[in-house]
Amino acid sequence: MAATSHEQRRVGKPMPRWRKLLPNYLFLVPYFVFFLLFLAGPNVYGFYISLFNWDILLPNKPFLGFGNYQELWLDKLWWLSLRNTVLFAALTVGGNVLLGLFASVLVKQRPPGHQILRFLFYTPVVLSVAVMGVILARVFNTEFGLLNYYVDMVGLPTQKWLGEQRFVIPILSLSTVWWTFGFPFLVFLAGLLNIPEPIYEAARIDGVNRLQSFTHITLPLLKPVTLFIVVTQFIAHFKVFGQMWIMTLGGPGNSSYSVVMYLYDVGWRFFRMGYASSLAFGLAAIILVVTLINFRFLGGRVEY
Amino acid sequence: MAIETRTHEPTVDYSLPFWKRKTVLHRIDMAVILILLIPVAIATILPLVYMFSQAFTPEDQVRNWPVEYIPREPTLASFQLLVTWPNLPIMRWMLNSFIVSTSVTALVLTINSLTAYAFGRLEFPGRDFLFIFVLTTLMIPGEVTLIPTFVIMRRLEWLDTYNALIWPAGAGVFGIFLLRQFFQSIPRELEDAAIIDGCGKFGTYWRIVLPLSRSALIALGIFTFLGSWNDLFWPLIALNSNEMRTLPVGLSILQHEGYTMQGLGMAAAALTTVPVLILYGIFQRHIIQGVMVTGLTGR
Amino acid sequence: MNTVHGLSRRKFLLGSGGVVTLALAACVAPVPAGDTAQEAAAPAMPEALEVDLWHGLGGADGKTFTELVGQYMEENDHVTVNEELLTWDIFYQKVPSSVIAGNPPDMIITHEWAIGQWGPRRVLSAADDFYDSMGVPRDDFIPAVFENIHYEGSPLGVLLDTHGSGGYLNVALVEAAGLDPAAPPTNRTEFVEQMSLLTLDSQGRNPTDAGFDPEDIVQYAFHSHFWRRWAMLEGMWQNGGNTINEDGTQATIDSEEVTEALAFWHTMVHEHHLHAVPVGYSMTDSYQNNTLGLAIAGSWWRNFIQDSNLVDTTTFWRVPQYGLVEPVAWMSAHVMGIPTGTDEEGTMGASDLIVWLSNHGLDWARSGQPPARISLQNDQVLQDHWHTGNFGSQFQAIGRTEQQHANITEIQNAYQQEFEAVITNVKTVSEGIAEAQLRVQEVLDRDA
Repeated sequence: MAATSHEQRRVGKPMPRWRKLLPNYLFLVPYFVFFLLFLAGPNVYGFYISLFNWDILLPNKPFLGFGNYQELWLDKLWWLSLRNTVLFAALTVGGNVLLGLFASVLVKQRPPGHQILRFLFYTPVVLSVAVMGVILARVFNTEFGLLNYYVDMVGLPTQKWLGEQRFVIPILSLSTVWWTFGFPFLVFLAGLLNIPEPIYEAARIDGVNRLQSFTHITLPLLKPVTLFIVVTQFIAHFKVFGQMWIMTLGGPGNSSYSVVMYLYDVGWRFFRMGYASSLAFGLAAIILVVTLINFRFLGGRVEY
Repeated sequence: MAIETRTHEPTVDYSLPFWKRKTVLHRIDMAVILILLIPVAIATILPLVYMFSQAFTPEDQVRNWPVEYIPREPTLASFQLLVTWPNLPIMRWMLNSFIVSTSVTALVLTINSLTAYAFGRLEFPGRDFLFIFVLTTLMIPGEVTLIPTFVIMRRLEWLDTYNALIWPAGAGVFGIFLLRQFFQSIPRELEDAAIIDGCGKFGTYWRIVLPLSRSALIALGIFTFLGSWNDLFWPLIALNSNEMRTLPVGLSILQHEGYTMQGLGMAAAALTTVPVLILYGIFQRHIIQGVMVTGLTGR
Repeated sequence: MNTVHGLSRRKFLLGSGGVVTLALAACVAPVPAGDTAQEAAAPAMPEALEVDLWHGLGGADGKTFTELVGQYMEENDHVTVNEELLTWDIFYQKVPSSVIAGNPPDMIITHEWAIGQWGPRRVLSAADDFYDSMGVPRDDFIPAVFENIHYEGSPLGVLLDTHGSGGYLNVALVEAAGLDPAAPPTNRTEFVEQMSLLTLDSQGRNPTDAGFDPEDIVQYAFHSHFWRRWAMLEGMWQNGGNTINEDGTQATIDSEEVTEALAFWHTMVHEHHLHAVPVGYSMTDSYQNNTLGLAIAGSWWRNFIQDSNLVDTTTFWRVPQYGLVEPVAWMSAHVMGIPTGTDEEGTMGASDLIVWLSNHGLDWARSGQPPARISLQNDQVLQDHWHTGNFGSQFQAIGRTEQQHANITEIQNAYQQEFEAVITNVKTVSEGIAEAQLRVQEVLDRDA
């Protein structure tokens, strides 16, 4: 790159360097308009708003400095919603990774109909959270839900699945695993297919059994893929809103109230945009910390 | 970069471990695998079957036990009710969803491919810095921009219009990342030939790079379309009036309004889902390949 | 396809032919009260008017409202009213959002308790014109309720009705329990005693009987609609307490009165088993299926009772006094208002509809909501009606409206969440009370 630009400079006058480079920059102009208006700009503006008591409908917007962040630190509801969200995300990511890995390892063996299975496992992922919520609200309904029907059929006591504190987050997680495990499944499958077969062949010749080859070859070689899945899944499930909003409205007694539900209430029901903004930055900070932890424990390069 | 999905099975493939060759042992293995996987597959598909069966079941039978996964007296009554119900302009919602998702897809493909071309194929000072700068915004979750974007939309007087849903998508980063990877894999000779033929930079992009990237563009297009079609949170806050709602917003509000008719809700869910399932059916190879490629490049 | 990119058909009409008629419409004389007057006023109106109306009348009363709107459109065939029904939760989010977006509906039906919140945020336009020039009499409303819909000296709308909670008693079940429907309990001891005879497990045992199985209850004594707010307010009011003090500076939830009320409610649910855990329990289904003795529900239940053929088996009770000080029933009123930013044509159509509805309070009473106009409330047929008459006199005798506040939605949300946590045993009474007190006080302090 340095060499070409050096040459260009030597050619000299007929076409100035900036004229030659201008079209290259022009390719970027449309994107950077959007980038500034809807991504970079809002990030900065959002922080600015978080420094005010910013009720969008009131003319008076008093400056608070870091007052909103102080309030956030002392806000029990924020910590409660965060606790619920972390619990939900951890259960969901855990469930997704385990089920995704389980299914992909088996599908990789190409059983008869493996393409149909691959197709089916990913199907719920293409649904809207609204559809997912509407269906699963029926499945877990206390009085006439599918689950209670089958639970009753095998002679177990029926439960208020979404109406009891001890069940509600696990049930929401289970629903979300049903909805999203197809994604980690496919990514794991890609990772598995990317592991060169001769490694397994060599191991087999050395007398390594299947379980050992799974724990000693497959898992270590899947580490980068796992990191990718865990990081992106945590980010995605920390933002959980639709499942709760449709299926439980945060109940019973706030035990499924998530951070983004709280953000929605504060921002669009109480119109406290300033505090809502500081909530969003609080969530961003938590996500960043969790991402760094993930990198710390799952990061590192892998050699084939 | 492309993933070998191995759609057919050669008679003898020595690259496979022995247990995958067709022996008795192989058959036992396959049986065990199927016994493990089939329950997962059933659990995956059962709620969807339930949705469709309830949508076609007469309202007075939706709570019958045992559940009839294939309704004994299938009926379109719930759909008819849905389409004619006052205050539930579901066809309008579908049109809204379609307009928004199509526009978003067109916008993202245009903007992202232009940008990815610049970042992946062109050389100019500051290129890498700008690319890294854009990538770092991926670290900040989108929730941070919700409030300010809402305030900006208010200033632009775009709230409760399609504009509010369409234009912010132009700032998406994912597609740039994906397409840049793909563009970089196109042999440079093809591009050089085009330049010799007198194509300018835009001509090269338009006539050489884009056509060669068809599969990547399709994958990105489908993901973008599905993402937009299914989005709930932003449309929920950016739209107010009934006739502007998208399908997921309409559907979730329908659920909230506690319409006690189960068949009605399930019919609405089914109507929302059918276009998505059709798209998925047609483009499943692109979608599955797209996810797999993304997963590998993402590390 | 009324609105594409924010351009509605109404605005389009306004841009074309509408302008001329608008100019003519400026000379409309004040509309006098009464049906016939509508005909006289009609010719001066624009040829085609659309009124976008948002409300949350999704209960049994919604049926009557839609009938009324239909009747209005028949009498005024140049007007199309686009009713949009939302749940109240979403309504209270979307109305201010639409004002923010600069694209509000032409008319909303909101509640009297919300006016304190709409006022400072300029969500509703001042409605003086209705009283000054459109013939709505200021002195025909219950003064205290009318006062509640004022902000900075102006009323922000026109009262449609008075509504609130009351008791629907299943006579057969009460008689089967050996109680007299004509002799409602008058204090807490009587209330608990009588209600205890109404809860049954599948073996027909009462909670006071030996061997009663609380896991196997088939009939509950009573249930209170929207437990978290209306019933809790009634509970604390009957004890002489309230959520916040009168000038809105101090949360009073940790007072003895409120704590006692919540503790009593918890006992009624978890010890006496008189009331189901109010999560996933359908009061409507249970009352309809004759498995609920007393439903403390809204006045808007009239259509539901009629349509379910429950009139003969139902008798009215005032909200019983189970608190320690005085009987109180929660009450509120619907307010018809015009949001800020509505265009001229929309305002005109909405104004006409508001006046018409105000005059048709007796028709609206078919929904079960007694009219806001005192002159209409005194109607003899209405007074004699088992439902509307009883509700009306109850409101006059023991009705109470909620304390207003500029952030009332947030306050309600705070204590409701905490009270629900208590009643579902997620928190103890003292934890819930302390937390609700803290949260409500935080809201009050913020605005001080």
